[in-house]
Amino acid sequence: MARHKKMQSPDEDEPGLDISSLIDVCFLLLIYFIVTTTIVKKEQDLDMALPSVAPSETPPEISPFFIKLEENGYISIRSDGTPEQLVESDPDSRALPTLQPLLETYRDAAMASSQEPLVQIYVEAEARQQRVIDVLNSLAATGISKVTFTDLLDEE
Amino acid sequence: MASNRLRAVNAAKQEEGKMDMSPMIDMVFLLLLFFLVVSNPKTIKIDPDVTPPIASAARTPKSKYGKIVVNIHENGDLRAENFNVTLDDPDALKAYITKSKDDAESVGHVARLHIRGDQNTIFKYCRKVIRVAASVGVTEVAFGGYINDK
Repeated sequence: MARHKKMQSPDEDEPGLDISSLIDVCFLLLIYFIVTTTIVKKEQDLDMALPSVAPSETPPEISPFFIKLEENGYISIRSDGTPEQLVESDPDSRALPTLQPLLETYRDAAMASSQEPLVQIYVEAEARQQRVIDVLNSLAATGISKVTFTDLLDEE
Repeated sequence: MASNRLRAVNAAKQEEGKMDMSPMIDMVFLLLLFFLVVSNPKTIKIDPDVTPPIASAARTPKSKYGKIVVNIHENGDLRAENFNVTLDDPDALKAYITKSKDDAESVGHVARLHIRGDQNTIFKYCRKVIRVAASVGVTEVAFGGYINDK
């Protein structure tokens, strides 16, 4: 009898942790978060550097690409002294299939002469924000980040 | 020279399958620590009354720090990052941008204007904000947008 007791004693001394309740709680929390989570659409940024408001003493070497956005969503361009031409007339189209290649050509020409492409945008006051973003989106896709809004100094 | 009985007890003990959980718990804590260390705790509050425009070329910002968030509602109401604060008064807007710029620069961040304009608002409100920001020396501008409409 005494021999039997000696054999069992090491087992009884070993401390044991029951982790099944911990796992229960973990799963409960996991399910709670899965059920209560709402997935929010992730917002991204369209970055650009506006030139300083103060007038520059040294004019840019490259002639800027001029974009005009009218309040009805029409987009016109002017580059290198050419007359203004309408390039986009569908305000509901997010892509700007005519403007984009023109911007790419201008960018390539600027890069070829080791200059940074510069775009001036004139936006009519009543133009929709989405349409402005369409233009900025085309610029970002082309890799042009130096943009100036021509009427920033004007009073409303 | 162990007795048959002792051998039988030991055999029964070995058959009991036990999983050692300590390495798993070690791993979990290690992963937890890793994510705590590398996570970027800065978040930008989202004004639910603003639906940003679609901009497929928009990118994840390089840094969330130094952002001066201005929300522009469809009707032209201007709100700070804490969207309970209205900025319709030009002086309040200027004071907000100036203070945010000073706060950002005091800790070594570049101040950037982050415009969260509603897609249906008109540009003159946006221009008003850019003009005020430029007047206090903030020339880095970012427009918030979704990369698609889904």
